[in-house]
Amino acid sequence: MYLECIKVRVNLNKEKELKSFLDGVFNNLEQYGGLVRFEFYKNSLVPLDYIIHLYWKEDINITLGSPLSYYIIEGLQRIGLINHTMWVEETTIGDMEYNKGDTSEDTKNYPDFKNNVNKEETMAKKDEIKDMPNKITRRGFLKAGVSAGMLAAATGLALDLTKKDAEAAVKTLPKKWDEEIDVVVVGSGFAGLAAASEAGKRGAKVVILEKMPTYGGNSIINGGVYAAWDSKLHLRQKLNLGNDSPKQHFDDTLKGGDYYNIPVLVKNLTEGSADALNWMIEEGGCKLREALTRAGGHSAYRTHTVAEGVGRGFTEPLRKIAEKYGAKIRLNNEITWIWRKDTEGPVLGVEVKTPKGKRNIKIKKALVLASGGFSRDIKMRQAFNPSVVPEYNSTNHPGATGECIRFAQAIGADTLHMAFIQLYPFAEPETGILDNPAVYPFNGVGYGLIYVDKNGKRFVNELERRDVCSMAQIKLGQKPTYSIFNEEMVTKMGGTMEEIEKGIAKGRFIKANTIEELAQKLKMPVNNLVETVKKHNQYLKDGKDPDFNKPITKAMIPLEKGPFYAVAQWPAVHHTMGGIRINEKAQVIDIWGKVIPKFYAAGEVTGGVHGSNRLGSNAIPDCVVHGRIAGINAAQEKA
Amino acid sequence: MKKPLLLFSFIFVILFAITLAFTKGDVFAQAKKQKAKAPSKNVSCLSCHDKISNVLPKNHKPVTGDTIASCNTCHRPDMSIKAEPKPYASTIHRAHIKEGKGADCMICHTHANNRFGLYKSGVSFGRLKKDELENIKNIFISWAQSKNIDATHSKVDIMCSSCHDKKLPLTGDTVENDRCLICHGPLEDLQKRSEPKDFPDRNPHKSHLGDIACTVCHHSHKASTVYCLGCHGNFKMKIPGG
Repeated sequence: MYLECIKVRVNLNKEKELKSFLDGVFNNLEQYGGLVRFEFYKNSLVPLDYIIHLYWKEDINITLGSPLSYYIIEGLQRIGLINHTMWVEETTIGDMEYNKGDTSEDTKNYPDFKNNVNKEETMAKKDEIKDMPNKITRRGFLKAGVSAGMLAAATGLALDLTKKDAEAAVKTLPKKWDEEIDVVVVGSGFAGLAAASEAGKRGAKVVILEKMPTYGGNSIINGGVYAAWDSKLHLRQKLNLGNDSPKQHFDDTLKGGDYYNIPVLVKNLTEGSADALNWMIEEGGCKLREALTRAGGHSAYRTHTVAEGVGRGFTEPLRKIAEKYGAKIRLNNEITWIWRKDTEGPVLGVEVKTPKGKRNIKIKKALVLASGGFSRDIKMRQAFNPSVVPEYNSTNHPGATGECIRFAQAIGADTLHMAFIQLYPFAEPETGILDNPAVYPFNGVGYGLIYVDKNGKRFVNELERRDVCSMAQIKLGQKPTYSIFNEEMVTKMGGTMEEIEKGIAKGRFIKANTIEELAQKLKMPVNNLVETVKKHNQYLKDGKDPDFNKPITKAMIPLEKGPFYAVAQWPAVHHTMGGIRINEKAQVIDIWGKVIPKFYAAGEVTGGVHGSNRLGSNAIPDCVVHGRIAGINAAQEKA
Repeated sequence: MKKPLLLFSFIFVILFAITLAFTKGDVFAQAKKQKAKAPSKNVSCLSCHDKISNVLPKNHKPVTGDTIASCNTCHRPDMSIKAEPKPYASTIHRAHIKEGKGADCMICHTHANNRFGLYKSGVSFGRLKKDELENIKNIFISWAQSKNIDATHSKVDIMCSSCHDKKLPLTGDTVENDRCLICHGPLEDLQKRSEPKDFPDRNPHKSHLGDIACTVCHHSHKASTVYCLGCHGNFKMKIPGG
C-alpha cells in the first residue's frame, strides 16, 4: 500500500472556499480506482496548515504521484494555496477498505472542520509515523513547493511566531548564563519589595534589580496615603468616622474605575489591604498618623496617612523586611530583555545592563516584574492616549518609563487598559511634582477644603474622582487653581503644623488671618472669594451643595475660623492604570489567555486593577497586596 | 563557467590557509621575544630630559642613574590604601601626562602575565588585563586634565587608591560613602555646610530618598549630575568641583 501525502498551507479567509472545493473532491472520489482511504487533517497549531493523506493500492506511479493529488493541488491553487509539499511513501498502515462515501467518519465528515476534531493531529505526530523505518520502505519527493515562488510573491509572507525558529528573528538565547538566581524581582518600589520579602521569607534567594541609582522608584516619592477598610489601629472606630467594609471599598473601586476593573484583582486589593498594612506595621515598624481621611471617589473614611507623610514611610519598612529575609537590591541594574524560548515555555532569564557590563541571569524559580508605570514615557503615553500631550508635567520620577512592558509584550504577555492615564489634579503647578503640600488638596476634601479658580469661584464637587477634578481645571483654561483650608482641618486630614510651616517657608502654602487677606495675597477678586466661602459655609450647615452636589458630611468644617491657607495646584500625569495582564495569582497572562510559566507581575506595571480611573490611596494597597501574592507564588515555583 | 570559478576559490582557500599558518607562527615568535624582554620599555629619562637635575625639586639630593629605578630606591611605591594625599606619586604621574599628548605607562611600569608593576622595584600592584590597563590609562589622563572630580582630587595629590581602597580599580567599580566621608565627613558636618540659606529643606546631602550613594550625583571620571533636578527642575543647584 502507498500513502500519498499533500501538505498545504492556504491563504487567510479562504476556509469556506476550501470546504466547498473539498466537498466537490469528496463527491467524485469513486472515479479514482485504487484509492483505499482519504484523510484530511488540520494542523491544530497552525490553523491554515492542512495535510491530506491518500491511501492507494499498489497501482500508482510513486515518482509522479496520482492524478487525484494533481487535481487537488490545482484546485487549491485557485483558492489561494500558498505552499505545498507532496510525497509518496510505502506503508503498511491504513489497511482499511475505502467505503464509498457513506457513513464512515473517516471520509464522510472530513470537510466539516468542527466535527473533525478527533482528526486534528499535529504535524509532529504525523511526522513520527512517517519516519518509522519499519513501516516506510520507499519515499519519493514529488513536487516540493512548485507554486511557492509565484503565489508567495502574490500573497506576501507573514511573521509566524508559532514556528520553532521564530526566536531567531528576534534575539538568540544566550549560550551561557553568568549567574543563577531563584527569584529575580525587577523594580524596588512597593510591589517589588513586598514580593522580595515574601519570596525571601519562603527561602528563595532573591535579587532585586533596580535601574536607577537609588532604590524605591516612584514609591519612595509617593504621597504616602493608603486605603484600607480597617487596620490593627482601628482608626475609623477610634475617631468615630462611620462604617466601612471590604465590600464597600470594592464597590467604590469598581465604580471609580467605571467598571473596567478586573473584579478578582479588586477583590485581592480590598480584602488584602488591611492585612498588608498590619504586616508593614508589625514586621517593618511602619507608623501611621492618628488621622483618617475620606478621599475623592471613596464613600468612607479609609485613607491612612503614614507618619512620614510620603511613600518613604512605607518603602523603608518594606525594604527592612525584604533585607531581613535576604533579598539584595542591585542599583544601576537595568534589564534589557526577558528570555523565553518559545510561546509555551517558561521565562528563562533576563539580560541586565550593569555598571560592569552585560549579564545574563538565569531564573530558577520565577521572575517578578514590578517595574512601575510609564508616566514619564512621553512617546508611549501618547501612543496610547494622544490627549496626554507632552506639555503635561508628571509627578513621577524620571525612571517611570515603559520599556519593561515592551519586553513582556515581546515574549507574549498581554496588556490592557493602556490608554487609561491618570492626571493628579493637585500637583505643584510649575514642575508637576507631588510634594508634601500637594497632598493636602487630596486629603482635605473630607474635612471641608474647597477648590477655587483664579476668580475665587468653586468649579467642581471637591469629592469627585481625580479625572473629573483634573478635567474641570483644564476646562477653566486658567492655570493654576487653589485649595483653601484652615488650621482646624490640618491635623484631621493627616497633616501637621510642622509641614505647614515648611510649606510656607518654601512658598508653597500661603497663610492669611482672614479670607480677604488670603484673596489679596492670591491676587484674586476679594469679593468673589469671600462670597464663595460664605456660600460654602452655608451649604455645610444646610447639608447640601446646590452648585455641585457635593455629598456633605458631618466631619466637614466650615471656613469660619482662621488662620486660612491656600496652596496652588494643577494636573500632572500621575499614574498609568494600564499594563500587563495578570490573573488573581499575579501570574502574567499571554495574548492567548494562558499563563506564562514562572512569570509574575505586580503594581503599576500591571493593568486592570483600577479600571479607567484609579482612586487615590488605592495604589499602595494594590502594590503591596499583589506584590505579596506574587512573592508567595514565585517562591513556590519549582527551581 | 563554473569549473574555473571553483578552481579559483580552491586556490584562494589554500593560499589563505598558508598565510594563516605563517602569521600564526610570527605572532608566537613576537610574544616570546616580548616576554624575554619584559614589556616595560625601560626608556631612559634622558631620552626626553637633558639632565635629571632639571626636573627635580630644589634642594633634592643628586640622582644617579637614568631610569625610574633611580627614584624607586628612595620613593618606595606607596602600597598603603590610606585616603590621604600622595605628593610624590601624584606629581610624577601628573608631570608625565602632558596636555593633549596622553600618557605612556610602560616607560616606568611593567605589565607581564597580567601583573601590573613598577620597573626594577619588585612590586606588583595587582592583576590587570590589557583592556583594563587601557581603561586605567584613560582615567589617569582624565585625572590629570579633566574638569571632573578626578582632576579636582589630582590638584590636591589624591590618587586612585585614596578612593578605590581595595585593589586596582576596574571598569564599573564604585566608591562607597564611607570612603568619601573619611575626608569629606562626618556627614552631619557636610550637611551643615551644604544647607542652603534660602531653602534649608533643599539640602542635597539630606535627601528625602534616604541614605543614597554619593556617586548618585558625584561622578569622578565624568561630569557630575544633580539628581534632584530629575524631578525638581526649578531648583538652582550646582555641584562645585566638577
